[in-house]
Formats: sequence, C-alpha cells, structure tokens
Amino acid sequence: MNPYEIALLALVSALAVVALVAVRFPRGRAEWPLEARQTAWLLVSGLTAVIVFVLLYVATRGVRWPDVVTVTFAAVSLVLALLLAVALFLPQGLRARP
Amino acid sequence: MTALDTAVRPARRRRLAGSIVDRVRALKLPNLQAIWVKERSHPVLVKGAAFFGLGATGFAWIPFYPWWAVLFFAFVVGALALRFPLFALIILGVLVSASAAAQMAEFGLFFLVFTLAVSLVSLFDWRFGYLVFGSVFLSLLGAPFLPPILAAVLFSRFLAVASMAASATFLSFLVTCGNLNVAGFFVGPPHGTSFLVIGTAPKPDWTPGDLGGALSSIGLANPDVMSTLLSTNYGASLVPLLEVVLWCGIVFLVAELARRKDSLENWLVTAFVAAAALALGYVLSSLALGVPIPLESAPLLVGAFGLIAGTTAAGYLSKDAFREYFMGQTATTVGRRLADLPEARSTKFSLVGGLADVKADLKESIVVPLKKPEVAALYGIAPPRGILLFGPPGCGKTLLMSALAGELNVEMFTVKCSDVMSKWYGESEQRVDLLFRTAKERRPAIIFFDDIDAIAKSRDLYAGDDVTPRLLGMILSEIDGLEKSPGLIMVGTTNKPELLDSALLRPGRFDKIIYVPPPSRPERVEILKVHLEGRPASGSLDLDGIAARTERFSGADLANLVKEAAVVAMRRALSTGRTEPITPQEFDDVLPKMKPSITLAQAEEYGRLRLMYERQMHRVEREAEGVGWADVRGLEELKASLRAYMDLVFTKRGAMADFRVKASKGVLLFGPPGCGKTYLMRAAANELAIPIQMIEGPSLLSTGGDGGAAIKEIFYLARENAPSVVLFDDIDLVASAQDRSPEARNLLSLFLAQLDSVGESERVLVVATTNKPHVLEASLLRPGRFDRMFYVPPPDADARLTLAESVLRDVPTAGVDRDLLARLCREAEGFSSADVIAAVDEAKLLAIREGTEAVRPVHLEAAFARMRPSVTVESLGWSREFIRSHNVRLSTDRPKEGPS
Repeated sequence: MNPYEIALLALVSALAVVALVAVRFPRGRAEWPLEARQTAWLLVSGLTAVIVFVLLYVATRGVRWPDVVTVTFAAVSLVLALLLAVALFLPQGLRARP
Repeated sequence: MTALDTAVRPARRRRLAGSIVDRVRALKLPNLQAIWVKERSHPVLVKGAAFFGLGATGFAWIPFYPWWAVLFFAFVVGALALRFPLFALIILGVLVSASAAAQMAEFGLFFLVFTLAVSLVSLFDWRFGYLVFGSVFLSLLGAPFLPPILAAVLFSRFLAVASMAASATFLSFLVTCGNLNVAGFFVGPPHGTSFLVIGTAPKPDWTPGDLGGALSSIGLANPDVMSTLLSTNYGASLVPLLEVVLWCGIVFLVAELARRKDSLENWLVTAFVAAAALALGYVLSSLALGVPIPLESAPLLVGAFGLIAGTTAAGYLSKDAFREYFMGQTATTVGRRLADLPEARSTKFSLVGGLADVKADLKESIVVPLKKPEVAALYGIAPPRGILLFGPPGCGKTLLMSALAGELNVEMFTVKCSDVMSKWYGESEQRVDLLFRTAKERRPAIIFFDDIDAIAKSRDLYAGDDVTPRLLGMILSEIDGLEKSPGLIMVGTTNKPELLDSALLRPGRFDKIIYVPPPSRPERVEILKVHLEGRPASGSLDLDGIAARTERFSGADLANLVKEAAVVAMRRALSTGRTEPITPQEFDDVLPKMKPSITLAQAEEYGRLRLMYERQMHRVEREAEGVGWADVRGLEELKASLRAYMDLVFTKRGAMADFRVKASKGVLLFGPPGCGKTYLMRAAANELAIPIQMIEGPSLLSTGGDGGAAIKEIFYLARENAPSVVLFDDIDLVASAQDRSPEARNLLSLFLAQLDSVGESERVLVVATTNKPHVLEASLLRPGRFDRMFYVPPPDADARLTLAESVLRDVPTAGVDRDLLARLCREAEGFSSADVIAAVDEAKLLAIREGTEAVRPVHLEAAFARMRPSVTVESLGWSREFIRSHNVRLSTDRPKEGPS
C-alpha cells in the first residue's frame, strides 16, 4: 500500500466512524454521553490502537508467514495453553481490580 | 358450477364488498390540522422534505445521475433524515463525491475530504452540514449565500456565519482549482490552467455499477495535480478569498438586523441593506483589483436584491409559522417552557380548587400588565417586576403558575435550581444570563423560578467562594434591569421565605409577596371535587364531611387521599369484575392511615411568616376559624365597653390626637381563672380583623434566656403589622411583686422597655391577662402602661345557662329541658365558664359510657354534682381587693355575685 492509499483508507475509516456515531447518536453532541476530556481520552486511545496496528503491520510486512492452517493451529494452541495456565494459577479468573 | 354456487357467490361478493367499504369508511384520514400543529413544534416532515430538496439539488449539481436516480437518492436521503439527519448528510456527501469523481478523480477525493470535515463539525449541530452543503449546491445557480442568510434570520448568528465561511472557503478553493468563475458571485479572469470543468453530461445508460466505479476511481487520484494548480492559480484566487469575507459580513449584517425586531416589516430594510452591501463590496473589490466585472455576473447582481429580500422574507415567514419550534430551540437551553409540559397545557384556573384571592391577585398583577399594557399605562401602573408565592408545601403554588401558563398565551420559562447549577466554574452564571437574555427576546414572558430558596438563600449563610451568592447577585441585577424590559415578570415560589435574601424581598424586586395558604374547608371540598372528576364516584359521598375530617391537609395530601381511595375501589372492582364507584367506605378506610403534611407547628409558623412577608391586595377570610363576639356568652356590658375602647384605640386614633388625648397602650384583663379572659380578647380582635401576637408567660420562662429576643420579635411583628394586638397571657408569672426570679425580673424589664417603645401613633394595643392581679408589680400598672383595666367576672346564672345550652346544642337529649338546666346552673354557684363546659361534657361522657343514645337529666345532675367550682372565695377576694385599691371602674356590678 502506498501512502496515498493509506491516507484514503484513513479518510474512509474516519467517515465510517462518524457515520456510525451519527446513527448511534442522531442528535450528535447533544446526546453524546462523554465530557470533552473523556472524549479526548477516547480519541487518543483509539488512535493509539490504530497506530499499534499500523506499526505491527509495518514491522511484520517483511515476515514470511507459514500457511494459514499452521498459523491458526499455533494461535489456538497458545490461547488454550494460556487459558489452562489461568485456570490453574488464577482459579477466580483475571480481575482488573481487587 | 351448481345453481347453489351461482346463488351464493354474488352474496359473498356483496358481503366482501360491503366489508371493504366498511373498512374504507372506518379508515381515519390523517388529521391535517393535528399534523400541522405537531409540525410547528417538532418539524419532522418538514425536515424530511428539506433534505429531499437538498439531495435533489446536490445530485443535480454535478451532472452524473439520471433524473430517476436523482429522485430516488434524494428520497432515500430525505427518508433517512427523518431520524438520522447527520447520517443522511454523510450519505449525501459520499454520493456527491461519486459524481465529482466521475468528472475527475481528484475532484472526488477533494469532495470526500470536504464531506469528512463538514461531518465532523456537524457532530455538534447537523444544521451546519445542511447549510454548508446547501450553500455549495446552490452556487451553480449563483446563490450560495441564500442558505446562510436564511439561517441568519432563523438560527444563531454563529451558525449562519460559520456555515457561510465554510462553504465560501470551499467554493473559493474550487474556483482556484477550476474554471468556475460564474459559480456564485465570484469575479476574476478565467484561470490559465484548470483541472476541473463541471459539465460532462450523464451517461445515457447509467447503471448503479457506475456509482461504484466512480467511487473506486478516487483511489487512482493524483493529489499532486491539485497542489500544482493551487500554486499556479494562487494570485487569481485572492479575489474569491476577499469575497468570502464579504459574504460572511453580509450574513452577519442580516443576522444583526433580524435580531433587532422579530417582525415581517423588518425584512425589507434587512434585505435592502444586505443587497446594498453586496453590490458595494462587489464593485469595490473589482475596482481595487482592477478586475472587470464579467458580463454574466450583471444579471445576478440585479437579481441579488430580489434573492436576498425573498430569502429574508421566507425566513421571517417560516419563523412565524414554526414559532413554537424556534422558541423551543432557544428556550430549552436553560429551564423548560411551561407550555411544553403537557400537564401545564391542560391546567386552567378552574382546575385549581379554591384560592380565589390568590388567583385574583395573580390575574391582576400578571395578566393585565402583560396583555393590556395600555390600560395599565393609562392609570400609571407599572407592572410588578417580581412576584413571590410562598406557603406550605403542596398547597398549589406551582399548580397556580401552570394554570396561569395555560390561561395566558405568553411565553413562560420554568427554571429549577438544577437547570441553572453547573459543576463548571462560571457556567451557572452564564446560564442565568442566557435565561434572562432569551426571556427578554421572547417578551411578553414570565420567568418562573420554582423553589427559589435553592438559589436565593440569604448570602450570610454562605462562606467563601460559593456559586449561590454570585448567582443571587446576578439575579438581583437582572431584576433591576427588568425596568428596561417591560413585559417581563419574574415569579418565584418558596416554602421557606425566611431563608431568602432580604435584598430580594424588598419592593422593587419582588413587589408582590403572596401567601398561598393551606385550603380551608370549602376549598377542600372544591379540591376533592376536582380530583374526583373523571373517577367513578358514588353519589352518597359526603365531601363536606370528608373536608371536615381533613383539617390541615394540603392540596397534594387531598390528591393523594383521593388516589388512595380510588386504589381501594379499584381493588374491589378487580375482585368483582365490574366498575365499582368510590364510596364513603373507601374514604373511611383510607383516612385514618393518612396524616396531614402540614404539622401544627408549621401552620403556626406560616401564620407568623404571613404577617412578616405578605404584600397582597386581595384577602379573603378563609374560614370562620376564629371566635367572634357571638361566641362569647353573657358579659354583654363588658363586651360593649371593651368593643368601644378598642374601636377608640384602633379606628379613632386621629380624633384622639385632635383632642390631645393620650391613648393608653395597655389593657389589663383580670378575673378568676376560666372565665374567658383570653377568649374574650381573641373574640374582640377577630371581630375587628386585627392580628394577635401571643406572649405566653410559661413558655417565655422555659426558653432559657431567649425570652427577651422572643418578646422583641413579637413587638416588632406587631408594630410592622399594625393595627395589632399583643396578648400577654398570665402576666403574673413574670410580673409578680412577691415571687420573682432573676430571669422573670429581666423579662419584665425587657417587656416594659418594649411596651414603652411603642409610639403614640402606632396602633398597637398590648393586652395582659391575669387571675392574680393583686401580686402585679406597681410599675406595670402606672399610667402610660396598663392603665386601662377590665374585670372579667365569673358567669352569673343566666350566663351559665346560655353557655350550657350552647354546649348541648345539636346533641341528642332526652328529658332535658330549660327548667332543669336553669336549676342546675343556678345551683352551680362559683362555676367558671370552663367549669360549666366541663360539667356538660362530663354528662355527655356519662351518657356514652352507659351506652344510652341521649344525654338524660340524670347524667347532667351527676356531672354538675361532681364538679367543684373553680372560682374560689379567695380568687374573688383578690379581684375585689384589686378593684378597690386601684379604683377600677366596673362595667357591671357582678363582683357582688359569687360565693362570699
């Protein structure tokens, strides 16, 4: 993807996000439940996630991936192993707050 | 087909046809009037139609879609806008981007970016996006300024100017990139290079696939083309940029002129000034830049006046047609319009039970100045700036104002404390400012602060930088400024007037302070009637009886009572399966479980507050709750002389002053206990409709040091509410020469100081009662203090008989005749009035205890025999001694009577 395509994708994505907001909150700002500060935090968090994904894409662009079946098998095995570890060592599950 | 079939089928057909006709007849056509009424306050269909128009203009702006696609997509946009206006704008932007991309991929990209920018801003107010797109789409017709001018008349200045700036910037950018000189009112030579010429005709065989193709072609755009063109054409784009400023200025001008006077007459001036400014700016810019005015722009300039005038007029007309919507738009920012509340719209004065005087006062103070200012002006009556309603909770203060809003067709803003308060510093003040500004724009109007004590408490109660005192300061200055805004009245309600800041209560701010009392008995009947209306009620309901049993019930309590009774009736109806009316039984079940919300202490407190604060023109005596002369049996001569004396003091002060007669300030009533001294004084004051301030000796001594302050306050109250009577019961407790504690001595000196401070011209009479006159301090009885004395003797045989008969009135008796009562009363020597009443009551109790249905002679005889006379020889002797030593002139020769 060239930079123009990325910019276009970002443009269309932003438009889609605004469209989603417009459907969920038809009266816009009047219905928006968050304050300005909270909204800013939300935007920053969203942008961070986007940047992480972009960086991941950039970093793994040159990687030669094995075939889809192998990758899926490895990923599922890893997730199962993690779940098993959690079940053994944290029987009450993961908690964000005590 | 059988013969039967042929016979049946037409019949079935007829039946079927009949049922269809019935169904068609049963179909209710939509009530156009109702739709229009709804649209005026909440336009939905108009919004859909407006978006349809915008869509149609937008899809026709750049030739791409065939006519049927234009109509179809415009319909989709209009339908979407009914519920999701911003989403409809985004869809519109994307679809127009496709047509732009069909002309040139770079133009498509450019429009898509523009759509995103406009959508982001439109998150705050979708009308911004509508106006910007409308302005852009109308540019091809040479009228991009029309939507912002319309918005300048209809909406806020900010919205109008911002949308004009955004669309003009976009158009100037477009002109810089392309060859759109005739688009809008731009002047300037055609550019040397151009990438954009709108004009490619739609393909004759357009398919929806072309839409996808156009959109995907945006991916192939080369952004460098635009930057090259921008740099090449930069000089030529200066003129359009200047005109962006010119347009914004014109829109601002229109908005300013439109704000001055909200009337159709104003539009002509507005349009003329705007068109003149446009023409001037147009000519000046072309002269200054040395650019000739293109020939094709001339007819547009000529038509500019017509366009602006038409748009301004359309703005005024729509503002008038959708007045309710626009008023709602501005008013809902702070508080709510009372007319918006459905319950307020249906409340009328007739639905408020009782309170005739309060209603009359409200009507006179608000309706006349607002609705007939010329009549008020004729008599030089300035409308009150503020009206305060106070009274116990639940007595109908808010309901009265709702009714007023229902009766009057003026704008009314109801504000609750929570509407004004904000957690952000300075925002509360901003809201108050906005509220008053909006109300001033919407005159004639009423600003109604419900429970005003929440924001207008005395400023002494706050410390530090609290928001409430600052708000109060703002409200005070706003009320002072109301003089310049006739037709704006502020109304507040409170049930704690004593907490309000005194600055708010002074005349000139709250000119009228009206007490909304708890309902009297006849008013309770009316309230019950109002609440029972529309509910199945039995004809046997004795509303007067219920009203008698609901003493101190507020209007809200009565509403609750009826509701509870209705619930019991409904429960019965559910079990029987048919409609059951509300019967007296339901009320009997419910009443014992309900308590009045106004406590005795509150009732007394409000009586005091009423004296302190009320400033009212109308006053209706609500209930014959006070005793009158007729209730005092016997003592005719004493009554006559007391009446004559009080008449002299209160009504003939002037004559006394003319004759240089010093009116005495104090009256002493003395006599044996239980003979009606206090009762007599109450009757006298009630008869003359003079308020009584009570000082009770025992409670003064028990207040622990605060008695002095209480005495002071009572005297202040009495003097402020003159003519009035201060009644000191059992003064011997404080003013005894024989047995006096330091507290009592202190209180007496305070009392005497207050008594002496009552001026000659003040119509305040201080009355003291005692049954031990001989122990009173001599200083109390010296001239200038209690120099008028009245002896209240024990009742004689005739008076006792009258009293006994009055107590037995309406009571079932058997064999009790006048002779028997006369004999008993004759024998009851030494009985005070209280004794006689107690004896008759005792007889009634005996009858009840025995289970007989009537009071018999035997009961009366037993009761009178049991009762000991409370008028003792000793107490009579004290009075005699006192009369002799102080040379009291007697109105009767009664003291000779009684046991000796």
